[in-house]
Amino acid sequence: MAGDSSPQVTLLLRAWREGDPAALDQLTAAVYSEFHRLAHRYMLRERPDHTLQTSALVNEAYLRLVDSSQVDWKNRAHFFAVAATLMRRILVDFARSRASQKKGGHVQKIEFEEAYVPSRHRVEDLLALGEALTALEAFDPRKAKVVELHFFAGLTPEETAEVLGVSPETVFRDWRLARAWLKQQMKAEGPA
Amino acid sequence: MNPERWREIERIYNAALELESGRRDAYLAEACAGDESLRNEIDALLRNGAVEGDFMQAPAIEFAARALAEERAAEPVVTLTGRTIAHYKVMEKLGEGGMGVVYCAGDTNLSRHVAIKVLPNVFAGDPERLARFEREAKLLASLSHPNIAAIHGLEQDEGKRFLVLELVEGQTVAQRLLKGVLRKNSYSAVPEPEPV
Repeated sequence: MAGDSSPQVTLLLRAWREGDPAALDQLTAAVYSEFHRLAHRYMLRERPDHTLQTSALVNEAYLRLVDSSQVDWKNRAHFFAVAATLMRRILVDFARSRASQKKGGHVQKIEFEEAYVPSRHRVEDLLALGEALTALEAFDPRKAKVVELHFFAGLTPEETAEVLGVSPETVFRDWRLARAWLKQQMKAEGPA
Repeated sequence: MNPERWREIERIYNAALELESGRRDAYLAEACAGDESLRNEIDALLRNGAVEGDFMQAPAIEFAARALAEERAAEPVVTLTGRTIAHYKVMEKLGEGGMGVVYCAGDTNLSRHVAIKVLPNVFAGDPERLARFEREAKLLASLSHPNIAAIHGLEQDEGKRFLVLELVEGQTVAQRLLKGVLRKNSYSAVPEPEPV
């Protein structure tokens, strides 16, 4: 499988941070393939309302992408901050392109009504969330960063606090308000 | 959002949450001091923050992966009926299961009817499923018995792998069982494993 990709990702992240634009394409491809693999595993094993060890899946994906042993501890905070920004960018771009494909009449004719499964996870929601986060960033960049690290990069609140150099209590309060504001913003923007 | 106003909202919001829920109302009335829009805004945030649910509970990559998985699962089945793949004219669908979709088809080279089996769309790009599909083909090819459908070939067209099988007319066991219990003589023709 793609297990050999992780050390490369670490190097690519460093290259991207240092301004190599080609590194971004390669990073995006690596994240995409991980993410399709995840989606695929949901399709194979997951049935609605069947809780799987989802966080284990995500952690595995993250470990495969990022070989943290190669990151020196001084740069760890910066590294995660960069990785989180990248994850946000890639995932929101993904949501945007899927959403516009759907709008563009890509959906084929539906043969049977039963083929229509109501979705609980819509890419449109991720896109709306990305837009709301950009709005939040304009007047409270730290809360946006908390969301980026915790939600987009999947860091724990403690890790998020470490990266930002603030207390876990601050992260907790930032997250609590950011989440409430984002939710409200998404409701205001369109059908929830 | 005005940053100063946002700081005000944040201060009152956090302070309200420090209080027991019964004392919040009085605090908010005092803290907002008649500023109705401020009060409304904080009330809305408190409501949105209080609702439990899975909003942003799982990391974004998980959300995105699930959204993709659910979209794929909801994608309408694209039927092959009416299309020609390789030299097979695909006719009606005979059945569908997790392992494949089976159609009746006309072999235009040999002028006979066959059954063709394709992988469900969801798995068409899955190397593991494709490998299993090929194993099934090889296994079938190694068997020869009047009560096992013969395999004519493992083909590929437009990137689609499919099995070409002998078309067996008749009912499925499930259909047959609806009419009554099977008697020994109606199924004994299925080959039994040879003693080892």
